[in-house]
Amino acid sequence: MTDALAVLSGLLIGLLSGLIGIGGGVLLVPLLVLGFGFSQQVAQGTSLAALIPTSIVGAVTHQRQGSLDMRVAVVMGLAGMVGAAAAAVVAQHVHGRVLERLFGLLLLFAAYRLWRRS
Amino acid sequence: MFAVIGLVAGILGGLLGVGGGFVMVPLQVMMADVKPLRANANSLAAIVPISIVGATVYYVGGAGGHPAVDLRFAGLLVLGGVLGAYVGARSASRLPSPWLARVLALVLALIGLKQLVVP
Repeated sequence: MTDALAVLSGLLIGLLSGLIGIGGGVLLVPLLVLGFGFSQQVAQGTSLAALIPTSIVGAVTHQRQGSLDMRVAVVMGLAGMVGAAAAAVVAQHVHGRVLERLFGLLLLFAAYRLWRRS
Repeated sequence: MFAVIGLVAGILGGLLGVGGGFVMVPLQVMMADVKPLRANANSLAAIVPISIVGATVYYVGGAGGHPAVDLRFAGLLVLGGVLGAYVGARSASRLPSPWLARVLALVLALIGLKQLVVP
């Protein structure tokens, strides 16, 4: 039952991402925490893992359509790796409640941007 | 410039478990005059290494030696996500969705407030 709900959640988030152009993680993390009872850390780690194949498929599609600037992507990706590694280590040692609050701010920011764009 | 943008996205991504596209796309457009479609493509490509490194650290370095990644659940999400993204991409041009975006914005704002205030 939970498995079916997980697939359904992925489907819904993939659909919304495609329709509205919002990143999967922003929707996925709160769904895992509030809907499936994940701790904030495990929700975040699972979200990152789910992003790996999703972003690869997306990037390859854009590359084929010629809309990707590989030099920019490599520079951002390399710098991003450094930031992600350091911040992910920090996240393992921060209280879950602190991350929840920070994520709340992120959601408010995402909501503001989404509202302005529509 | 792009290194700074990537670094900021990586830090937010690693700290909060998201890709960081929400900072990479607008910052490329605002700071480097990149066209939105290209900015989106560059962002997705940069999320590949960010998510790989991030997920690895969460898996290996989880508190108390427990991996902070549910791999099986992630696999199920991806399974549904691929289907959803395919359908979404095909119907995007036909479905005018400003109202959908607004409803979603309101829902996100409410959840954000809840997470901020209520434990």
